[in-house]
Amino acid sequence: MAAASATAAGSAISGKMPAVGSSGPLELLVVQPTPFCNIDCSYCYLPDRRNTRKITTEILEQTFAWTFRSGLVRQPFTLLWHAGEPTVLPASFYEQATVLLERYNDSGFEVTQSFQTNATLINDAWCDFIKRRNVHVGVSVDGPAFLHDRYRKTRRGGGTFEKTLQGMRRLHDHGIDFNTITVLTADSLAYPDELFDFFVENGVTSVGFNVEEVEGPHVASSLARGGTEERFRRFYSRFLDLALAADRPMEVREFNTAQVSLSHRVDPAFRTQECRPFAILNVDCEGNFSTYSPELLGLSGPRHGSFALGNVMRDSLEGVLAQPRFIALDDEIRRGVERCHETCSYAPFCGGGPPGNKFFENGDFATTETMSCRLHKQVTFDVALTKLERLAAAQEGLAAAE
Amino acid sequence: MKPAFAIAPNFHLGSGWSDRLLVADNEGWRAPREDELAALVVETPGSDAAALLFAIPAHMRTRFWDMLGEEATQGSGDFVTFAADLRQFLAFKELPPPTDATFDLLVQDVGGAVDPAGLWGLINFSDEPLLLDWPDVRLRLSPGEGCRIDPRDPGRVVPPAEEPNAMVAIRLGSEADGRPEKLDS
Repeated sequence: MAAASATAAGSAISGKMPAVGSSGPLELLVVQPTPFCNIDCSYCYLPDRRNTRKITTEILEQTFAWTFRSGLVRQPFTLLWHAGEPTVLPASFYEQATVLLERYNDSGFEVTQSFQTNATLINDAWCDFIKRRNVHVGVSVDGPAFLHDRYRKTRRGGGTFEKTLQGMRRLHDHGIDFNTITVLTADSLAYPDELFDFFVENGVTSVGFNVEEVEGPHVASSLARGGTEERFRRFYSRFLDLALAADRPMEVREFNTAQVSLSHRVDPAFRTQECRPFAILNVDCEGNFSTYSPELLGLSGPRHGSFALGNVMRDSLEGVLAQPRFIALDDEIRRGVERCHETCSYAPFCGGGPPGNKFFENGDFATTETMSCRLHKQVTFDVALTKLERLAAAQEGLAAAE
Repeated sequence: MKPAFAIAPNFHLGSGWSDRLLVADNEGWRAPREDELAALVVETPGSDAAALLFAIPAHMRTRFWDMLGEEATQGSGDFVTFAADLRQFLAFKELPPPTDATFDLLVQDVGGAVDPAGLWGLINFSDEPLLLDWPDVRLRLSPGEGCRIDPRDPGRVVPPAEEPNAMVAIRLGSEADGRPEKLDS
């Protein structure tokens, strides 16, 4: 299967203002309580990660008030604390935030809190909070030290592996399960066995792989070189073989996603989480908010201006939905999804590529295929399909033998 | 001729060359000087003469010992499948053994010798280092490490002093004719 790439011609804006009821429902609230990160990964897309600003109680309170009054909360959702590094603020801050969240949550729907962290600052106070509040934790770790420390560095250029490992061990010591996200670079693709060993050795049973993307200030990915797709395919296939055959089952997020996606076709009219207005709400420490791909918040485009659509302190959802700027943006994203369905044989299963990747790679939301699509969707779907067919054939053979 | 040593592409090995190589000095061995090390080590592997070092993943070492355990307790250790998986791993790493190469499981007792005929590679599955000697240089292979050897100059596996060495030898097919796939020595 192959998909053609198409670039949008400058067409007139024909979008309509979505009603509040056709926006959302909210699935993911991403709050950046500070843009600051205590480490300095060389593939990071966050432009403002040296800035030590933090969200005020007033803005945080208004973020929750705005969210629950917006009409977007019509089902349970996840509150993801994502910065910067969210744990640069103390656990006590999140304890207070949880009290505020509960105060404003009059929806009757459950809110699951989640952290994506580099784990370097995880201490006993953090573990107590995580257990008490039943918080989900994702650790960003790129595998053994020789891979992790190539990109995940301190501001002085040193490695962060040892501190990340200490954090992971502390979580384990407190009986806290966590999943991991590993960013795959061109360097990682030769080491599926070493990554598998690392996860087994450190008791990790649920892994996800991101690809080093072209996003924001990170304008060149090591994966953009020729031959990457085949290397990625070989890496992923071998890792999956190891994970599926492991004595202690290892969940691979991309395999689970592909299994679900391949089991039913997406209606072309349906817009997936990242493509649907306000299924994701991203709020920064000043109360500015955006929707669609979280990495758009804090960035701007030459035609679009800032991707922050409003501020929780002064703008209503209705007001934002009526803005010509939002209507144009939503229309461009919608056209991109339509073109995915017209040109890409994977679209019925993926539902359309993430707008953020389209913008950063192609400069336009109304385009189709990206490197992220090719690696993170097309290859993972292809490999998953092969494995599933093989598993089914083996089960059939077993049944026939019985 | 002293062999040139290199780390095989697509492998990462933990310690440095000064921990792996010793040079002959009168009756014994000593750590190489910097200039000697520079002469022994090749930064850009690819030459036929290079002894290429590699490492086996921990999960394959675990499987190796599980297989030996099964063989010892139930007589069902499956070395053929293990060797096929080892071949697949090396092929993934772009260090494929020749298609007609055979894999031998060797246990080298104290004082025992390893037949060097047709040796293409050697992998140390012991818990102790394995020593390979050439006339002027000694290579120390840590547990889980292997080495692709130049068959024209395979060196000599130093007999263990206490515990037996456990290793897998990969031999060129023409040299291995008539050898069983599974072998105790």
